[in-house]
Amino acid sequence: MADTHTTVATDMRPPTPRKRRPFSTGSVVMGVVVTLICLFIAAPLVVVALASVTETGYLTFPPQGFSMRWYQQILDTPGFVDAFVTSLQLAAVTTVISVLICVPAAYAINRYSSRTTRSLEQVFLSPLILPAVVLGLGLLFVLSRTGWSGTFEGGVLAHVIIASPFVIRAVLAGMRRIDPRLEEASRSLGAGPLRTFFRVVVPSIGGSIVSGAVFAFVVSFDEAVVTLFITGPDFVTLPVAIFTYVQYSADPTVAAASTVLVAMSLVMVCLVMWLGSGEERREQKRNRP
Amino acid sequence: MTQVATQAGPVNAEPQRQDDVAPERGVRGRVALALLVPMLGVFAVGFLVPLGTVARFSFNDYEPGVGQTSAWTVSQYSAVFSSPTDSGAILRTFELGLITAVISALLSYPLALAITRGPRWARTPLTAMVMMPLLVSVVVKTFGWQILLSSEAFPQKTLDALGIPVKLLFTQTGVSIGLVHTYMPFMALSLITALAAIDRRTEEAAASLGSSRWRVFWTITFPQSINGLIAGFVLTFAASMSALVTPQLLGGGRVPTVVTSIFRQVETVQNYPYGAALGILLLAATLALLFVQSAVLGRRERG
Repeated sequence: MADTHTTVATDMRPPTPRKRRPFSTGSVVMGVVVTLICLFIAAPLVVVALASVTETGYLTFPPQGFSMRWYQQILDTPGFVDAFVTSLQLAAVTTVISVLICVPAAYAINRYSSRTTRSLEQVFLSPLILPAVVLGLGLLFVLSRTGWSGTFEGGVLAHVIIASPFVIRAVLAGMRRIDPRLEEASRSLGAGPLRTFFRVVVPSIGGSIVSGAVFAFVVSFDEAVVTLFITGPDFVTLPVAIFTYVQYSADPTVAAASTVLVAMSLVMVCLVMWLGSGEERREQKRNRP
Repeated sequence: MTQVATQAGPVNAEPQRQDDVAPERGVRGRVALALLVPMLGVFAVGFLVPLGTVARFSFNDYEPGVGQTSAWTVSQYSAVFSSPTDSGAILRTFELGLITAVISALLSYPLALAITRGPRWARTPLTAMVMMPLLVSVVVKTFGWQILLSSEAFPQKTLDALGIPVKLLFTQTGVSIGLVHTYMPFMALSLITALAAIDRRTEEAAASLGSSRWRVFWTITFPQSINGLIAGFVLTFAASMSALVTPQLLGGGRVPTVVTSIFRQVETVQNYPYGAALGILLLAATLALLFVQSAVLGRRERG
């Protein structure tokens, strides 16, 4: 790491074309350490994927033989298919509602900044750090009183609370980067506030809204803790279904279903990183003199 | 969710173009409120009322067979502390939080250094490595550990072969491994932000004045990253204290924490006031942790 910097001082000759320095012990040690840490991070995901192709009728690691029949088996397990569909619908509805309520709220927090809006921002972000179990417990109490526990609608309420901090954070970060003079210019040229919002503000924070929405979708799709409290026979998400199977009867089908989830997450990582790098490039372009 | 519809209406009501420079206070307030109303409504119903209900229920009475009865009593709290299982669970929850935060810091620091100071080509794959566990459901990650830590898999077999008397699955060791894996990304992201924000010229200056890399790190880089370290520490500590899936699946009922105890109260015993009291204690611990963090950070800023 950082070897190029240590050499700067002592040699005052004009910069020679940089030669590849032989690896120092320090960077070799660092490389090994970082590789081991990466192995630790990847291990359980790789294990799940490998365990899903075993030929045996029970979970075993390392797997024996190679068979894709457990993936076929997912489709024949109605529990998984229904839960997958529920999760997709829940994540989609959650994302739409979160974006619809968070974008105006973030705009108000940014534009009409005061002590009140700043503390509201903290409240809206607090589900990120406060224990999800307590929220799950509270939602169970409130929803079961109104007969909404174990319903899709109750799940939407819970997931909007969990997902919207991610949207608020992304959108606020985007809004804080816009030059306020753009809005002023639009207004002084005669555009109304709504027109200014949709023609000036929304296009310049489009990337932030999309990355907030992707996060909301993923967070909702993966959520297990709060959902476990408000689940019911008619409302089971995929993570809750997997949790229940793992706890009582884990077989290779669960591994196959989990691998599908990991694959979806991988696609999402690529999407998020791609969006992020696009944002960075645009930022650099803007800042270029 | 019905509040969504109200967002567009009142915005139009703002008098247009008469007051471009500084709209009067009342109007500004009304517009801001109109934009915030949908979010406020959802948060009131889905967040503040539930938390308030948990707080209220924790002072209720519970009788086996009868259920919850309305009261104002601290009997649930004293029951928590006089139960050996649950007071033990409180201690274990703190212990797991501390272990997770410390190990996460030790593992994340090299990773964050490699991402911010390492070769350029490594940056994107390593960042993806940090992001990936964040985007995989905790249920799936924990399931992976359950397979990997089981007595038939090679880590446990290796330990047995070496005669090391450590069991991995359904022990505190296994739960710690799972918690570190789940919450390490928080620490890593916090450290990456802190390390990326350091002015590289301070490091270059130290190096050009003849400091070794080791010394540059300890006197220049590390001290400037401490705020990020503290933030990551609090985040991983708080998150692992409130973990449900990992201790439930990797503990297998043999590593009770505050959260698994809450879950058991709800799933089997249905003693809601007792679960609520445990929840409020956990919430209080989290808030105390955040308070200490802001006190420490405030103190560091004042110097």
